[in-house]
Amino acid sequence: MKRPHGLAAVISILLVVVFGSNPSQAAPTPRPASVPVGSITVSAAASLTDVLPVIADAFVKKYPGTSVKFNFAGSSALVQQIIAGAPVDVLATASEPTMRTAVTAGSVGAPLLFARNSMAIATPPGNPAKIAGPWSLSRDGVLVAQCVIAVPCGTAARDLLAKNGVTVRPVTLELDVRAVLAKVMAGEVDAGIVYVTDVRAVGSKVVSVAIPSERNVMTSYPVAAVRDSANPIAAQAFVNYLRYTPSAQGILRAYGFAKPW
Amino acid sequence: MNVLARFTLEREAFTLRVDLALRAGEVTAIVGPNGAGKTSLLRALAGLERISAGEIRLDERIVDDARKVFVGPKDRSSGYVFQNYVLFPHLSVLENVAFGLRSRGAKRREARQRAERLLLRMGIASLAARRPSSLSGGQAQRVALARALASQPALLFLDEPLSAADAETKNELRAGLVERLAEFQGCCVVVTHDPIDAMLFADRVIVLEDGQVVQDDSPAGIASHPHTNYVAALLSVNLIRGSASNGVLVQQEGAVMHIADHSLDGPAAAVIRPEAVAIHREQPQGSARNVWRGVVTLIQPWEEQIRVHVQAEPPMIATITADALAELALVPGSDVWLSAKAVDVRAYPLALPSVGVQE
Amino acid sequence: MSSSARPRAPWFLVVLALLALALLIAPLVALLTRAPWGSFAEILTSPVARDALRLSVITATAATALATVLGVPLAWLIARSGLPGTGVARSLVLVPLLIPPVVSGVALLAAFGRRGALGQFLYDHFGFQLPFTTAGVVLAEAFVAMPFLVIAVEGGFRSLNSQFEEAAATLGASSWTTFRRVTLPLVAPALGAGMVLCWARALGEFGATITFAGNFPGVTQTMPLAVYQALESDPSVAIALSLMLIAICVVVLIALRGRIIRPLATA
Repeated sequence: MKRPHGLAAVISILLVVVFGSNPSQAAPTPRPASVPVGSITVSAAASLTDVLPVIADAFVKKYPGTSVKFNFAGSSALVQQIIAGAPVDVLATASEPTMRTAVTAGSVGAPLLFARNSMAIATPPGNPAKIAGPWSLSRDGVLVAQCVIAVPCGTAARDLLAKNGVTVRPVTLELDVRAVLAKVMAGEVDAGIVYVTDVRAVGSKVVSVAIPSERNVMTSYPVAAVRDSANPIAAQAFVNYLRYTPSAQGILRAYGFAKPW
Repeated sequence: MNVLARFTLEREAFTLRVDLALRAGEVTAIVGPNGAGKTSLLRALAGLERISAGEIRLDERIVDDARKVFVGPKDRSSGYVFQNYVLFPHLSVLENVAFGLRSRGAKRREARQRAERLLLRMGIASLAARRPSSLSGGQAQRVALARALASQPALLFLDEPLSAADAETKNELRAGLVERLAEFQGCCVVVTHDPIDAMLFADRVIVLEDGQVVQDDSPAGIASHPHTNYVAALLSVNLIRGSASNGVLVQQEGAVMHIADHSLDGPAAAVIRPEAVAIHREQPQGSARNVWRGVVTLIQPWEEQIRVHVQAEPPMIATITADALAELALVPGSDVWLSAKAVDVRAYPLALPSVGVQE
Repeated sequence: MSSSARPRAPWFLVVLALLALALLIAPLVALLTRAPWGSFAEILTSPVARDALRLSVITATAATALATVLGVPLAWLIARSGLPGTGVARSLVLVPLLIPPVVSGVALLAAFGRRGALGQFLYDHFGFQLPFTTAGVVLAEAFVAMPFLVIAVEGGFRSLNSQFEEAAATLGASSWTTFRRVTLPLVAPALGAGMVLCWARALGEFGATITFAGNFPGVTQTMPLAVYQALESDPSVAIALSLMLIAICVVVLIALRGRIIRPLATA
């Protein structure tokens, strides 16, 4: 199978959104238990939107006969969908607390941390409000967008501001990190608190104000196989591939994610 | 106010062409078959349609010259009674009647008082609080007339004012209308498809056919000298005015005519169709209640039949066949007897019974 | 008419009709079974819910007022003016009804955002910005909901007998007096129906609001946004808020049933 790039990727996401995934469609034919085959659906945090399809391509190359579909959204929404019984095989969230909710509900197996991320401040091109660091965000008249506390990027933003001793009244609490980034790109806000990987992903459409690591916060990305998966072998294979293979980890580095250890 | 209308109005597959002068104090009836352009003429005079060429003047003021000048309906000092009355359904009768006064600047209180007085004068004060949807056809007609008259317009236009009334109330409505129109000082134009109505209301009858004026005359002139088949068939009737009581209509000149309707009392008119008038050489014996003498003045062939004009009291036109003419050997100057059965004398009241409110 | 005179409905039509009804009703009933009845009062009186409900009612009402002030003249223009281009205008009015609300939000940003065609002017000259303000929520809701009002009122104007207006003119009424005292009262049933539909649509607006106005409690977080946000952390709160919204809609529809919606059908 070719890399499901561009249009193909969009269509596959749409199909998942519209019809849900149907793993039983490609139920594994009896084979040696360790060989993954068939289709899996991965529910992943919005901040993984760009990197995971690339890793999935590598995974599919390694295991011909498999295919991977995605469902990207805010981590909390994904967790709620899986608890409600959404037909998903793998869950990758942007924070440990959200994953813990799914573990506690008995919906997923043991999670593995596969990447870490840190925060950055994104501003519209030219940085019109002259944002220099977290302290700039509390200035009068500076419009700040961040995630709602219920999602990992919101918790991380809160922790970041607390760590820097800054009180900020954002104008909007977006439901996922990509929505924050969208408001920044549209120029409607002066700054958005996002992941460093998001800034990297959109290139020159925003300006990144780096935050030194001693003033920054790190978030961890756990991944786990869903208990009710119709394709548990392929699901676990994807989880392991993501955490342990140099190729997956290499792609994550290339997209700006830090090592999980 | 006098009206001068000399214009053409072109619509899809239809052209109306008129040249008329209408005088104040005169009631003009427009009659004609369906689609003759009667309503279009009325609407053009009222400013609800724009003319295509020519001009309309109210006194000396040009109100439509088919080019730059156009004075809308609100500034033509006219009242208009629509065929289906078009009372405002969301307003009470009183508010409907006060509407014109209000929109011409009267204060709310004053407008209501004047509207109340008018309703009282027209004998419909009891309807003041009603909604139009609860009115009978006859009541609605009188409210519509009151609404049009409330702001004392110089021009009054009525489009088929009796067509929505049922047969029973029609006589009463017609009588009320005749009274109101007699009082009205301005220039009044009534469109009707009922020739008898036209003969009863009007000082002048204009006959429209296919967008053209084919005859323009007094009711008597129309009756005696019809220009077209339509006029001859429908308008050429014998009309007698007088005062009715106990089944007898007495003319001002003293002549007496028996009528079938014994309930009629007061000013009335009678219509006798020419076919219903019999001509005799000798005094007839028979059931006909009305028998009187006269002299033939004119013998007029019309289509297959002959119209005989008789100078008598009252004068009559009778339609007879060519065979009958030959048999009777009539020539102008012949002495004849006329007869008409009382049932063929259709009488209409011209005033309301005087039991209403006096003022 | 006696009921026996009616033709009997073919069974498969009945089955499909019942299926359609089930499709519409079942999710709402399911929601009821999931409702956290024990903590219902507590949830609905929480600051987040109170803020969201208050904001929703205020913005939906303001949006309806805005849609009425602008939409009624537009409906009149389309139905009555006979100006060229009104057919195109009628089609354009329907566009916000058909495009996804998120797209409406993006379009509103393009027009009224700080970098938008008109928004930039407002921002540069008055320092005024619509996104992230309650006014922005009102604008987004009006944009999405106004077509309902315009369609309903336009239908009212269209079916109105023009003789009423002619009668008013012959009675000396100016065109404004005629509109105010005759035309508008006569389309009142259609206007009422349009306003109710508009209000209900504004109350439920989500996509355009979150895209254009953002999400902040007490300022731009309306009920639907609060529902969506609660879904990520505590679904029982989301269900309670959803039931609240449904209850408001049902109450409004029942209160107005027959009086406003039915005349619309017969107007």
